[in-house]
Amino acid sequence: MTRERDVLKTLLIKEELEVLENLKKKLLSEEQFTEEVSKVLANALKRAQKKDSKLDIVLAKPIQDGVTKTFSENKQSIIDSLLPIMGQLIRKTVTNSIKQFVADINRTLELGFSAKALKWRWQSYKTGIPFAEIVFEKTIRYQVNEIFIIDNETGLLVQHVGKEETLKDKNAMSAMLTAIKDFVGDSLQSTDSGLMSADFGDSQILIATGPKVYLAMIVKGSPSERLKELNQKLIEEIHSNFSDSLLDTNNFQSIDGIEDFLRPYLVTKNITEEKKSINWVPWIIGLLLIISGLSYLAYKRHTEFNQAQNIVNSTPGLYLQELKKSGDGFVAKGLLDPDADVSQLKENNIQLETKPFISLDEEIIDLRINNILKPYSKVNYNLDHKTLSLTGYLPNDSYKSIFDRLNKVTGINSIRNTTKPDFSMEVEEFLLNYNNLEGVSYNIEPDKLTLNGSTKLATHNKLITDLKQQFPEVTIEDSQLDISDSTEKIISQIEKDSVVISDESESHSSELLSVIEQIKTLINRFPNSQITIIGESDCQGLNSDRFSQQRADSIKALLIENMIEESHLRTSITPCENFNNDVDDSKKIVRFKTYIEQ
Amino acid sequence: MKIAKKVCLIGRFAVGKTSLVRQYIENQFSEKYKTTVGVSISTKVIDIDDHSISMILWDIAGFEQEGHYKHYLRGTQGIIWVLDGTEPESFDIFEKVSIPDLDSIPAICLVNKCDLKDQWRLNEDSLQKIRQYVSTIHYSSAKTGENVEDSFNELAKKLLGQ
Repeated sequence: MTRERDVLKTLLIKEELEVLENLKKKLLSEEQFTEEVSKVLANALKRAQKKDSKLDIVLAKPIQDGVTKTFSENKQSIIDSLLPIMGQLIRKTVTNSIKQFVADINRTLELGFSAKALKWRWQSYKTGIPFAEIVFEKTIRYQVNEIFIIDNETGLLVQHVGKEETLKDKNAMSAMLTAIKDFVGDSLQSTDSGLMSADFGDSQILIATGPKVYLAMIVKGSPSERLKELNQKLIEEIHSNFSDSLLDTNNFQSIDGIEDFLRPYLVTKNITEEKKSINWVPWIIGLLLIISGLSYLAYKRHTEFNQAQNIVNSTPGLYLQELKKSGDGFVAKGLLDPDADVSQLKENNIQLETKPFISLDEEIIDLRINNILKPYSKVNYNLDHKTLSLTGYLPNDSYKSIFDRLNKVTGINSIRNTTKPDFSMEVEEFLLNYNNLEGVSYNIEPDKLTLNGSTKLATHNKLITDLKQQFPEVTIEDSQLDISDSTEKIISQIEKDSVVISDESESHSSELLSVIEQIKTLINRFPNSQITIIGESDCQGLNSDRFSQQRADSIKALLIENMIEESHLRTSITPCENFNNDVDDSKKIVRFKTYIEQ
Repeated sequence: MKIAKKVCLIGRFAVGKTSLVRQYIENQFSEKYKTTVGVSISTKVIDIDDHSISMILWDIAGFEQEGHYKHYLRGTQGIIWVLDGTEPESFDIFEKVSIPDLDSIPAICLVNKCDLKDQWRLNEDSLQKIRQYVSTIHYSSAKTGENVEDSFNELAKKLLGQ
């Protein structure tokens, strides 16, 4: 039965069975199955993607993982691949930045000092909006009339905003623009965005290209580089915000939200022709310069005049009535005291046209006093409210004449004089001419003479007598003057030394002869003087006192022989209290004792 | 629903592409662009049922040199092949023009200058050959307008997937 059924099957569906067998083989053979799938895979993916977004969702994860793995495992090859793109990208960014920078500089330079710029700076200050922003806003010289978003590949219009009535056929415009863009790109073999802008009349088409669509902005006037940068951002945002809608061309011109997104970028301000206004800036600057120059000259002249006036006014004894500019200098007219010091005026090129007068300025009075007292260095003065106070010393010989002159000075009401006469000049002259001042030095002060050095008593006495007679007002200090032959010295000499009397020798010692001369001087100076000759011994033996007396007598006789009157001489001994057996010649002496009766 | 479609006219020099377009459309850019840029753009809006389809016709010149037209074909959504029935060389355009995914793009073929039937050189072999590339073939005359509007409208329908 089964066999019959198989035979029947073979007879009925032999061809279908063969087809099924072949299909089975293809499914079971990996190679054949792969071959078959590869034929339909592309179209299958395409249809699946068109159908809904499930394929995108399913593929997103493995693609993301694959890309991540590729990046991590083949860094260098990725870098090599990206380098040319990144290089171009960076160059493009830098170029745009530089263009923008140059445009900003130009604009700033043009506006830097204009009245308009000052006004905008004030506005910026008031509102807190950055100045650059205000400048940008105010200096717009263009009007964005149309914005096209166009599909790169088909040239189909994705969205248009603007004044439609100005455009005949925006679809044709989009396509033609794409054709031209492609033509330029192809002709120049440009690998980047290709055509960036095109001029027509007073308008311009600015183009910013993205991966899927590009933006074409029709602008009237002169757009800034900043607008081009804005376009680039705009196209990036469109890709970011409407990426899904851009994939299906059937959605074009009906993508939700894209029109509202684009419309704010239409600059709807009307460009009004600015009235050709006169640029006042150079005139104002020129005027300011002239005013500044004149002000400076006036200031300089005023300063010089003030300076001259100050000099004149600060000159005691000059009463200024008029000061005039004359050539490089000035002429001062007024009254001039003959004692005034005008040297400073001449130094400052100020000529004088004055009449003499007597000034009662304290400075001038002071000048007059100073002129009188200048030669006398030992006097001090002070002028206070026209009262002259004098202290110190004035030369004795011109004391009166000085006061006579001071009393005649105009402007001094009274003189308080506590000065003393200065005798120093006269005393010095006197001493210089004085004979026999050998050994005497001196120090002269105005009213005091100090004597130093050494002189004989007679000379000293005469000098003192003469000085006191000549200069009774001068104090003479002679305590430091040594009197080489004074009475005290003589007495001291006489009484100082004992004289050894040798029993065996007849000759007399030089000390004894000196003593004899001193005694003579003393008796000569004091005729009533008494000299006691005292004999002494070594107290060796009972006759010692007798020998002492003999020694005193013998010296007395000697003095008499030397012309000393006996009435001035007495003898005495120093009696022995204890006797001894030791002979001591040094104790066999005589000594002298003086007594002066004045 | 408003949609726009890019349609390229493909054909050798002097087959009558521009004349066909001129016969068909209302809005046309100056033809001078065809000699300068290499393409002339025209538009035609057709209402089909509740659809409004705007056909953007790209009248491309210079199919004799590949580099001149290639980028203009990019992204085309419809193709009008234009042949000259009196000029057999114009039938070779299919081999010379390479278009990716050609099979998936709606297309029609207009064998133009049917008003010159006495000079007609189109034979069955040629038609067979043409059918390998495009299934819809119409004989048209830009001069008389014969079959022009209908053919374009037919392509419009194809573009709408009808």
